[in-house]
Amino acid sequence: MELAVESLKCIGCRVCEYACNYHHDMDCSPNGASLMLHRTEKRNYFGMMVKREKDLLLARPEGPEVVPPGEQVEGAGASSKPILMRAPCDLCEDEDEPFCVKACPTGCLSMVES
Amino acid sequence: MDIENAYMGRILVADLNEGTCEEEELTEEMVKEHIGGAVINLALYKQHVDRNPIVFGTGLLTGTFAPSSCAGVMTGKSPVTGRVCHVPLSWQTAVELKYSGYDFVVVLGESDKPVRLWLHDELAELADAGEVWGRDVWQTTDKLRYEHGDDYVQLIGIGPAGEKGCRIAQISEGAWGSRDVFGMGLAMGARKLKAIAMRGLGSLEVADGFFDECLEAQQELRKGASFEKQGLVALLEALGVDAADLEPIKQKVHRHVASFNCAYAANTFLMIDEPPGLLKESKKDEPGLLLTDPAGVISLLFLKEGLPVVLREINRQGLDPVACGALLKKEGVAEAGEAVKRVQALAGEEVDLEDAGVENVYGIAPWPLSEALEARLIQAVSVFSHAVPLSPLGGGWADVSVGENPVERAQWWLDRMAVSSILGICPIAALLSPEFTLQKMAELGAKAVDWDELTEEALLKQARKLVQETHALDEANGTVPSSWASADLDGALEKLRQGWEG
Ligand code: SF4
Ligand code: SF4
Repeated sequence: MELAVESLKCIGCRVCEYACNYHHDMDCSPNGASLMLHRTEKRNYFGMMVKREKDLLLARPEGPEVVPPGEQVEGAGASSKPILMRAPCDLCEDEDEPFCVKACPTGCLSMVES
Repeated sequence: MDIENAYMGRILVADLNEGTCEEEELTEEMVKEHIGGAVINLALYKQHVDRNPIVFGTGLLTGTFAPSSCAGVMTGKSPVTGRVCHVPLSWQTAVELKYSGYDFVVVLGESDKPVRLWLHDELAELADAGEVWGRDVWQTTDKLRYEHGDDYVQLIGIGPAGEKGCRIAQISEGAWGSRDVFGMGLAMGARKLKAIAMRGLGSLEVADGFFDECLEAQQELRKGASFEKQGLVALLEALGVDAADLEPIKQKVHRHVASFNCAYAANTFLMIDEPPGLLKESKKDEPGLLLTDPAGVISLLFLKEGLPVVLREINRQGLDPVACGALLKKEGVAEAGEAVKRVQALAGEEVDLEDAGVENVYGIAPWPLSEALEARLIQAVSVFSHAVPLSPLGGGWADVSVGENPVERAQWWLDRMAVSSILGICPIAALLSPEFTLQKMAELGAKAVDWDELTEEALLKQARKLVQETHALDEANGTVPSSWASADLDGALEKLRQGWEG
């Protein structure tokens, strides 16, 4: 299975970040989440970034991009760096349902067959 | 009670005369006595009243898994109306305030040179603001985010209007407008406080079962009819704004954006200098603007295609769009280029709307229904922002179990605003979702901090006390412009007040 992001459904509410962090650390904050909203606010350009086992998924509005480890992410400023240090997404294997999917109010996130 | 599930436990007292920042503990006793949000703001306001304080606070549930828990509240005396008001904060502002380590911030006195407050990771710093003083809201936001090395820094700030003593200056939330219709931008400017910048890596603990209970509540809300749509334009349609008037805006809609943890994206981005269908990142730095305030948009609809550019300038100057709209209309300025120039000039003027012949405008809503007795009652009480619609959204009054009695309707609205300001629930969400009952809100609050005594009844008692005490702080409260004074209003206001006493 893998986590799919239908980027245009995203409204940038960020609750998925807090839900993922809750899965990892059992507290409420976005600090330890495997996914993070990237946003250039004044251009209204936004989408989720997911730290995965082997790479980084950038769910850009114009389409997904997979960035191999160690490669520079184009257009992502210093603010997006913390995602690289985070624990990778473990697909919530020990939970009944992935926390981010469960929390997302728009159906932007889902689990699909890989 | 597990206060660490809701609050960081810190109050900051920033003394602008002394240039000092001191911390106080937010104790469990305070939360037990006042619950949170606007009630604690008011207690802190009263405690420091001789220093003319401005208080910024977060609700009990702000920044938690509770649905639409994006809100915070600013409390202070309006330099324009002289009344104490509670202005809701939304977007990511109040969430970042709490996670910076401070649940409440009390600003005392005034500085003799421009200052800014920087709150991050449980540290507070009053710094020189010489470099941003004189800059517009967007330049200030960019500059401070760059300086602090982080695009996710959130800000409460002012533009040139607030600095120069303009009475229709509005506080901004980051680059965007707020729900301040009380001239609190001038209140900050008069203290030479340019901005509060916030960023934090704090975290809250979570009660067992709270996460799932919040998700269930969220799912319940989303069944409501309002949630079939998204965006600010749909809110305006629900309020009865003429579809033809909205057409020029609709053509520029880019994407809708939610405030923290809101299932309804109540903000809508308009593209001005790019095609609205653009998916790639624009090469332009400032191609459009985010609409965050339905009241401001209504007030400016007469500008038609010109609305976005004019509103962008209003946001940059840190002005109240409701007041600007009323004034531009009165002056007959309807052409976009001319209106932009007039807005730039307004930021440097004192602006007295009454002298300018604009009627009923301070703190008065532009809503289509603002003539109704319940709306006039709400505006006469004038403790919460009228930039929030004055009626239930979505299905209107038919959707909520309140009859036709204007006193009951006004009380329903005041209760919703007060409770959301205590708990930190977005006021728009509170009006959109009759399914989100006060009882449900109380249950989530009780669950969050494991506090059985937080019942709907306890919450309502605090809510009414909040309205009554804020209202009682100024004799002018309850007075209305002569053009809409009437015998039925006086009688109804008396009945409304009696309700709080009981
Ligand atoms: S599936 Fe689980 S671990 Fe992966 S991003 Fe979602 S919440 Fe985080
Ligand atoms: S929860 Fe869903 S809509 Fe909200 S930011 Fe995450 S992906 Fe986007």
